[in-house]
Amino acid sequence: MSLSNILKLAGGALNAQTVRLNTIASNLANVETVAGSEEKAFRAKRPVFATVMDQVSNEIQKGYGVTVKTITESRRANQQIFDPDNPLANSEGYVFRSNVNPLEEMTDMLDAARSFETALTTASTARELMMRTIDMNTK
Amino acid sequence: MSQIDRALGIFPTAAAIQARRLEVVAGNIANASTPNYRARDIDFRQALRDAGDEMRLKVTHRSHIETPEQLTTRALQYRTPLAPSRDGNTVETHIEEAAYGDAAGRYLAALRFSEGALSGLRKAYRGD
Repeated sequence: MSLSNILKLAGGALNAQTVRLNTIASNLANVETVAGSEEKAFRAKRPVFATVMDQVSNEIQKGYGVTVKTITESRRANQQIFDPDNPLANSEGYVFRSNVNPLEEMTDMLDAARSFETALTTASTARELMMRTIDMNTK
Repeated sequence: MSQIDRALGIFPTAAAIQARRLEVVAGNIANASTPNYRARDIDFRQALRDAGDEMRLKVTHRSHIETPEQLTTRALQYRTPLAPSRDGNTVETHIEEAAYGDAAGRYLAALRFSEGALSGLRKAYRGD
């Protein structure tokens, strides 16, 4: 039945958005993190979503779900800060700051929260319609 | 076609198509941030016409079971985005939300009309 499949689709969307919120929280927590080299420095993480198609039934008309395909790291250069007193500083006295942009993360968080809410509303509407269908009023 | 089917008319088919449409639009909403995802929707008129064709094609005997909820690919079409985004995703959440609400309303309407038809039959059977 297609209405119950909506609950499955919405569940997948909620899961994907949760992963996204998780990476955003991790990025924001590491805004001020420094490291001794560019390789060790923290890089902003971002999930990449992909569409899930039903491999079993192969029905084209079905609604497509979503899943987290992979998590990529930002390739933006890490800022070098001259801080010779820092125990992590390299031989020249530099530390490498994480390349997280807090503004970007905050707007991404708003979008993720909005998408989460929309998926939740989708599920509750589908549930309501199922309930209405089950107790059809035929007095 | 049984008496109940005749009394219900088009409404069970309409409800089934709207349920499919809800599912397709829910898939669009779920994929609002997926790169290269193309939003789809069901053309109700085409779906209804196809459902009629299917009935004529498939039901060769009175006792055959009709499958009005089956859709052909003709009815399923890609949405044309108003403002395409750079990652190739054509889902516009506000439009999908409106489409979802529209399909939910139409589903409820079809359900309500079916209820009316059934309650009429019930009254006739009971004779009161």
